[in-house]
Amino acid sequence: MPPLDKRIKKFIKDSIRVAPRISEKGELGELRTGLVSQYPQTRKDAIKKTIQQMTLGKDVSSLFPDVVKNIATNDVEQKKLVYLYVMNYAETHPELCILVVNTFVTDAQDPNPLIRCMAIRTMCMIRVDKILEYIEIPLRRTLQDDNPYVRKTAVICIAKLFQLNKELCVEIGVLDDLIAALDDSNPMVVANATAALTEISVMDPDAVLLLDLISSHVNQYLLALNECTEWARITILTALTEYQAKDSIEAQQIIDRVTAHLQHVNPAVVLSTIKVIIRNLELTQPQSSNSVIMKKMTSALVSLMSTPPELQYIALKNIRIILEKYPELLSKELRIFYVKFNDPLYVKLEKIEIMVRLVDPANTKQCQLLLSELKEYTMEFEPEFVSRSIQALSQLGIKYSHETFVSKVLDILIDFQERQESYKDECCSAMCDLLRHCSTNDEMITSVCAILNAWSDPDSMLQRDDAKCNYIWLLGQYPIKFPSLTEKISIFVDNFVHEEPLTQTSILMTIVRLHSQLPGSILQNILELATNQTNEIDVRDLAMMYWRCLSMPNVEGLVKQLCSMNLPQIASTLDKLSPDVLEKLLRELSTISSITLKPQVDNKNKYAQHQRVIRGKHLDELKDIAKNELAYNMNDEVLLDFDDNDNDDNYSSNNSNPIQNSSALDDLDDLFNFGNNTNSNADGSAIEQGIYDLDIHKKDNHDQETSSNTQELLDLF
Amino acid sequence: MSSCLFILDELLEPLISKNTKPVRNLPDIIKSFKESWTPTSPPIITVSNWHYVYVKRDALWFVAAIHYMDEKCMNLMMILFYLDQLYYLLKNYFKKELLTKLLIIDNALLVTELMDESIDFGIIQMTDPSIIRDYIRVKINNSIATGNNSNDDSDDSDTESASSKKNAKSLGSYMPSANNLTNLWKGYSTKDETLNENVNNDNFENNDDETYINSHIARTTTMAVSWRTKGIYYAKNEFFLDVVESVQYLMNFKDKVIRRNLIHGQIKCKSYLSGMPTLRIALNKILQDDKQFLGHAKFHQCVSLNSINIKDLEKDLEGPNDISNKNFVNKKEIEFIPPDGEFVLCQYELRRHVKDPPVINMTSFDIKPNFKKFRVQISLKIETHFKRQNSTSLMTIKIPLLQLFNDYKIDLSKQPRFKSDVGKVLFNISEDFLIWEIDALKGGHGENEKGMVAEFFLFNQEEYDRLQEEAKISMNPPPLRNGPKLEELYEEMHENEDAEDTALKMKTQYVFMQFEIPYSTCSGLKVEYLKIEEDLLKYQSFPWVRYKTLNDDEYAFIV
Repeated sequence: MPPLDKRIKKFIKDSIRVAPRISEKGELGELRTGLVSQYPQTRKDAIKKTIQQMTLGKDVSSLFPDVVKNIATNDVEQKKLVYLYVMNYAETHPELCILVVNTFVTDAQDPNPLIRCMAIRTMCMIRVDKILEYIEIPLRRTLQDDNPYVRKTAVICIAKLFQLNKELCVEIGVLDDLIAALDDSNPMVVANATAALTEISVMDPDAVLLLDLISSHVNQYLLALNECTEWARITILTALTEYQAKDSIEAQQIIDRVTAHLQHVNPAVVLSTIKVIIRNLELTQPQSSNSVIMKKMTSALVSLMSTPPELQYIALKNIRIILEKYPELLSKELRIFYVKFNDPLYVKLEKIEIMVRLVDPANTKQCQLLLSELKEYTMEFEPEFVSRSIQALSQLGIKYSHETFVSKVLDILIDFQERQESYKDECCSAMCDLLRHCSTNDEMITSVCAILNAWSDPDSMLQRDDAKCNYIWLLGQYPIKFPSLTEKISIFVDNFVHEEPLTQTSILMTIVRLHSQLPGSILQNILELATNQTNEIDVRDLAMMYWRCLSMPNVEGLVKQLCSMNLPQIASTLDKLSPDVLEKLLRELSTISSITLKPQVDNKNKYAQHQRVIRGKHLDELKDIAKNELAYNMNDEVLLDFDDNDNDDNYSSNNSNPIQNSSALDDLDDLFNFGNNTNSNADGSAIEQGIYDLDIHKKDNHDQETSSNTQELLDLF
Repeated sequence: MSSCLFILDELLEPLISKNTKPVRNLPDIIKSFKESWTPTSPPIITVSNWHYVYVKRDALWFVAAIHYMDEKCMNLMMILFYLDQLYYLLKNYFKKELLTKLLIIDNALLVTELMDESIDFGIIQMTDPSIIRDYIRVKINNSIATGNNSNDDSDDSDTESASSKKNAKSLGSYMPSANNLTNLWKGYSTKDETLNENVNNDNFENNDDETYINSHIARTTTMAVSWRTKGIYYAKNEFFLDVVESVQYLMNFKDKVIRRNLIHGQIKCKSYLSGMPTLRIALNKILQDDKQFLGHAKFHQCVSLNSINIKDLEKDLEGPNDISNKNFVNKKEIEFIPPDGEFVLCQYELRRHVKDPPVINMTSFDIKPNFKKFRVQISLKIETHFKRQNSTSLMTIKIPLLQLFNDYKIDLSKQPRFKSDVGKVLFNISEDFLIWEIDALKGGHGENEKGMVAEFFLFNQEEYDRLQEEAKISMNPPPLRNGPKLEELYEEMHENEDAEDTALKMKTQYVFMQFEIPYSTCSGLKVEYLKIEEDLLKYQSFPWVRYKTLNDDEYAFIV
């Protein structure tokens, strides 16, 4: 029981109250009478109940006129509730909004800055033209307010207004006020103005000249940087990234100013700082202090690893990009990236990705350490993690490139696949990769082939396309090492129709290559299957071509010439970013591109104006909007379709495009940037290898095809 | 930057949907998130036109959705950290250890208001709980669902007094102390608005105060010292500083490879000081110029980063031209104005040498079967490596048994036996591990060795057959058994388990250790002195410094 005096107090309070209460249920009728009650207490309760219903998703819009009557109050809490309500339902009652406008305008002059803020903030969130008509005066006034808190809110309101009604924004000329706010004495206002300008320039790049504004305010930014909140710092740092320093002295100056922020607790501040430094580092003269900055960046990156896993994931993705540019940055910090047992899977996979890239092939001890660490990972239980570890093992072996080391890796793999039932796919691919790196080491070849030969039914043991493809390639490469060659191949031939394209190509090529060692029926059989039973154009073409070659006189010499090409040695199985993509990505650290590793497209299309201001009930306009929307969607689809087709063509001729679900433009971008990349990953190389084997000239044809395709695309846009 | 924010329950149903930009059809947006999410998804998912960024905290999901048109100015790290901070903000606001679905539903208004105040049009404004408190006018609603009965009063009065204290605090410097009582009363009344009582007059008076105060608090965020409001007042001025170090240690016991040996340190502070005090702290690591510490430490924003940095640069450059700043070099202390309430002053990470023995070391771990006697013994020995005068306040060692149960046929109908030098051993039958609990373990440098032995009986086919045979022939009822029937319990617990699953889990067997050693830091970090100065008020203050060493999540031996 509470003490006596408390109980008495409670009793008095309970009994003083005369105002009727609103029941728990809160029926609409009850709420309506409550809202117009003579007792302020009851009215407030009724509003609270109404809002509660609203947040639960009930439609209480019919109470609009009654709720709005309560907006004129001194109680801040009640005012806020009514504002919330108005914001939610103004669109359904655009005619009634005129009732609220007046209050908004008076509230924007309230002595309490909180209310001033609230009023202007709410006004700019309402998509109704009647309200927007009255916005100019209060917005101007709050922009000139002497309280910085109000100013910083008003500055953002300009961006909101711009989104709602661009024309109005230009007409009343608030954009100039926004630009003037960049010179404000208060750092928070400066930061918010910058953020607002950034938003506006994303919506319409022509509305403001963001880059020019940033360059003319660099000094203000540098001054404000130390004096504002952590979030504002991020905005300012992001703006600084856009700025191109004039000379090395200025670049050095910027670096000196921001370096302190590498030690900030907020990881976003740290990452933004790194972005600014990387941007300016190239411009500075190489000098002794660079190594100091490098050291600081190293410890900053390391500190990002002691954040929650979700943030670590972003950090790792970005570290991967940074490492590509500055590989020496973290070379001593391998241990930080060791996988923790309670890391989520996505962090584990990224950590492996970083580690194989990080490790310095010149540092034997480090490679050994990583090798034993990876070996431990193969003992774990998550399948994705284990298969990535196996892949990493082969990547590490090829990176270190010393034969004894590679054979050590191979021993681990052999040992592993003996103990394990599953993971045959990964083992097979990894071992073949290693063999392609050390193609002269007979001992290794023998041991691998012995193991693979022992598999009784390779077709069902292997699941993945690339693994099968690798397996068949190996059969063709070292036929002598496989005592049961014919048997193995006929298994694959039997399943030919069900195989995926890579495997089909590989089967076809291997059989043509070995046709003298195999019974003739197999060759005949496969050529028939490949010409009649497959849907893959490439496979069919290839088969046709082989068939014609084989039916010509002097077959042996020609076929030998076609098939005897040796594959080039693999130097690295780690995929690299091309230099200009890397440069772009470094500018876009911490954005979505750092996750997808695809730089953003310069989107020439104007920001699609999804936001429409609601102007009363004009049916025609609504119809128009709907029509536009439909047309827009249609356009989108057409674009996508076209793009898909094209990609398919391209995909079959040059398999280096990883097609992912992304917008049409992304895909296109993909084409332009990666299209002509010669690939180094195993998947692609199989096809490539086919093409090599076939004929060099044919390859050229393909390339020409690709480029003509690209040309067409370019013309279209 | 983010277009809408959601808080979802564990079934991915939205509890709170809030748009920070005018976006329509919020339910549809979140629906496609629910459809495309899988347990292994990374924290960023892209579905058609929307990017979803999310964190999961306490069975709740904090999701931000970003339209692809906005992706140019979206800073993922910032959004994720904001979501993380939003969680802490809510937790701090509700003063709860765990956020629950009910708590969010009951306080939907408060949560939206907090979001409103912390993010505006996708531009993050502030997340500091002690500051944001001044802007929020909605009160915490602890229990609508359970009903406001008088039993809750004790609970309520806690928060009430907290809030009244707060009010009194912010008023303190403006009101003469005689007014304190009325302030307290006001504190009550504002709080009680949730409980629907107030006198109209009082309300009016209150509002006058509010306008007055607000005009001045609204300025805090926009000042240079953005983390501390003016006019904070406490009757007793105290400052608590805790140095907490958690040791991460991972060793593969079989091949004696030490895979991790790290210290994660934090300096946590609780500040209950009036006015605008300046604190000065000297740490031995900084005094001694510990390069590793300086390189791997992160400080709270209240610590002027420039001052630390200037010192750093000078050390690195050792330039003779910086004579003017020489006095800076001698002043190797951290100087700052603390925020009010709890905060983390500094985080650091130190690597230990591989050969440095761990605080608690496992010296032996054996599984010895004795087939003649049909027994199997697990023995484990540990030793301590910290100052002799200290001791652990709480320690548990978790010993995995899954492997054992898989390798041997254990007969649980015979009670397993446990013996230990200190503490006691418990058997967790449902999850297959032993727990060795030790209350206080003395420090030492390897000479303090303690051990434990657990003995399980192996299934004896011969004996079993003989007993079965005897039971058939003899007329005596089977002998009575005391104690729980472990074998039945075990069967019951494990009948639903997937054989494959256990096989997978078995691969890595960790011996986990949990401990807490008060009054010591593993790295030897020490606060040399802590000075509190407030020029205007000149009060007496009480600084408290404590040290503690803990285990990290990953303090384990792989056996």
